[in-house]
Amino acid sequence: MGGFNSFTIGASGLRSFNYYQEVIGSNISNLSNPAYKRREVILEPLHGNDQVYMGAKFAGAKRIVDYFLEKSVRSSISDFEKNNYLNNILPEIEDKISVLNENSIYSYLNLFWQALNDLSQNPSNISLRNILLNRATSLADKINSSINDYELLSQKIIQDARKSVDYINQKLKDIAILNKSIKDIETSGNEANSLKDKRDYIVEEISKYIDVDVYENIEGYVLDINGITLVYGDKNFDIEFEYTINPQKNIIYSIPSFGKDIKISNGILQGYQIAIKEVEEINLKIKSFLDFLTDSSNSSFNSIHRNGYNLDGLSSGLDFFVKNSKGEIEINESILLDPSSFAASKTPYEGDGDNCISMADFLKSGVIEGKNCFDYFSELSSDLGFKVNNAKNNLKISESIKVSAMNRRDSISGVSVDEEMMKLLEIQKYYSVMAKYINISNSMIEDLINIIR
Amino acid sequence: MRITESIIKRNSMLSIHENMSQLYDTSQRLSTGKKILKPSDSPSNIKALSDYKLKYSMNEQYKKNINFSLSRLSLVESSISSIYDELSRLREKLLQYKSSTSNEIKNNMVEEIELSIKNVASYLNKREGDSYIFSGTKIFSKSFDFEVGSDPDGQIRIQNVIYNGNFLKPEVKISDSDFEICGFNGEEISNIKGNNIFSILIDLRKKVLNGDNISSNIDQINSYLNSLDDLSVNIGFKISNLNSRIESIEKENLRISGFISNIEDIDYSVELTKYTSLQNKYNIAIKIYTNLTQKNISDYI
Repeated sequence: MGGFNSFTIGASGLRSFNYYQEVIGSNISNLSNPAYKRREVILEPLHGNDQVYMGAKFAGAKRIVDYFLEKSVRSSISDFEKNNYLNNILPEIEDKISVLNENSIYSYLNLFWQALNDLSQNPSNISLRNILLNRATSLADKINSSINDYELLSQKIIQDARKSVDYINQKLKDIAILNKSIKDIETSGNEANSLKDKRDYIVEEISKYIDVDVYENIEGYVLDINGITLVYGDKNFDIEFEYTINPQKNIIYSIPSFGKDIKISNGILQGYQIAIKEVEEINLKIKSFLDFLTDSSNSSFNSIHRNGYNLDGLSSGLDFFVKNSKGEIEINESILLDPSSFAASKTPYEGDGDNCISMADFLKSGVIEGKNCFDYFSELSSDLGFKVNNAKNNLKISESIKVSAMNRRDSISGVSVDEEMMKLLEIQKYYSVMAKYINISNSMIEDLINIIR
Repeated sequence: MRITESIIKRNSMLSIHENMSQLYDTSQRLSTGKKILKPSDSPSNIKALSDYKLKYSMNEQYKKNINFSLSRLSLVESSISSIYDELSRLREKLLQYKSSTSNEIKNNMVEEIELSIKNVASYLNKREGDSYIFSGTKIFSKSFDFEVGSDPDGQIRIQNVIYNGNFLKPEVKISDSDFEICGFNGEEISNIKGNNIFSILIDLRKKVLNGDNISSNIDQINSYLNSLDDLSVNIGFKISNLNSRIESIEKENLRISGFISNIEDIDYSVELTKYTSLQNKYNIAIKIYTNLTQKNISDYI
């Protein structure tokens, strides 16, 4: 090795450590950047023409990524976001039907039952008849407004789902564009670390909505969901959204390019599917109750009223609860216009209140889906309570799992200032050593020249 | 495991978030005094809680029904008592009249009996609001009407008293399965054990007018008064039973209130202690987080 080679070695060391410092600087400055993966410097031995060791060279900065941990983070994010969505939407569904809510169907039903009892004591009392009709109207209004509220909620969920699908499609397009840029940069022999960070971050963003998998094969980067490809290199395939009305009201996501439905197993998109089913189920239950009250068969609330006698001692023949052309429940207009036509009596005499008692008893004993009206709503409320409670617990669990997965990933890919500072101090020392090495080489050569002289 | 800043921050944030959420829940419980504000707070208890609340509210309704029945029975009792007084007064006068032969006294007696018929009928035509309380369930019909005609002395007097009500007994519901009567129909009061008080009095008036012996009529009145007495006692029993029923409903509702309270009310001392402890935990978590985030590069160099 020639004496001047020592300058080459020293200079390569100084250059390499200079790059090293730049990488550490980049790591530290991106400490708070959630998309950033820490970089590690790759140094390679520098050989001369005769394979003699000539120092070190900077071979690049490697992104530290563990793909297994990345997958587990994505999966935990999907789970957390689904539970977070359900934890927000289910209480909204729960509140409207809650038996503890004084503005619920259950409470209005109870008030109507009480009004029937009050009128049974004094069936000729017009003010009691008016109170009963007011309470029955409130009950009917509450049933209609609940159905309407749930339909609006259903529409809101569908709208949100549609927006989310559009957002995901935009993100898939972004990934395809990024893939092209990454490929171009890497083909030209450069590193595309920042773009890869950006791509991973977008994938993480998509994971909030759907549980996707990513991998790279010979032909490029692939993003798929349950085996269905959404991004393949620089090509992306749009997800389409469909809401089927019948037979099982559900949200269906599909990829028209492949003519396939996507099975969504996690993420906010699955949250929409679960929420819409809940809303539709509750709405069906309320509609069943509406049908129960407006039923005209011989074993219905209406038949009791129909067979009763009004204040004039005449057979009523009128249904009390009726369905209008919009399918809403209403009180028979003839009864509303003339409270004395309410059939409080069971016998064709004036003033008998026994029919009120029969109607009140029917509300307590009439069977709807195997339960009486009050149990029907308290069990519905309790069932939903269990679901909301589960969503709350699931959210807690999934948040812990997400934090733990992210921590495990950060323990590999995250930047530790302590570690970077230690490296910096170390590099500074190496840098001084290299500088000293050049100085010594320089003085040795000077000494040699002096001796030769 | 490498511990990075983001791990420490994330863990601190999770801890702060959990503390905040627990603090919020506890403050909600403290401000409302309830530990169950929505079904999801304790879904397993919701069915029981709503059942208790429904039972409580239905018991209150039954109590209201019983109070209605009590008020009606009191009116019946007071009417019976008035009839009793009226007939007792008449009986006294009849006993005095028996030993008299004066025409004037006889005529007075006839008018007294006529007045008693009217008074008894008026007591049995008693109304509460729009309702005739002695018409059975036919409460819009006046309970009794008169048929008038000429007596042998040429005077127009009551010849017949007609009952317009029905023979049903008005009832109210006092529990899920029981009913209790809240009154008597006029027939039950005016015609006890075959003694129709109006027929007795009309017959009596005619006998006085004809100067016939009225001993059998006085006996009938006595017998009727005894029956009225029995009816009064019977009503008294009913009132007393209904009062005990109210007491037992009140007791049951007190018990139900206890159950409801056990399920949904908080123990303030427990919640306050919990709140203070959570507040401390929250403050410590915030302090730790602040200390961690305040560190910057200069701390290392």
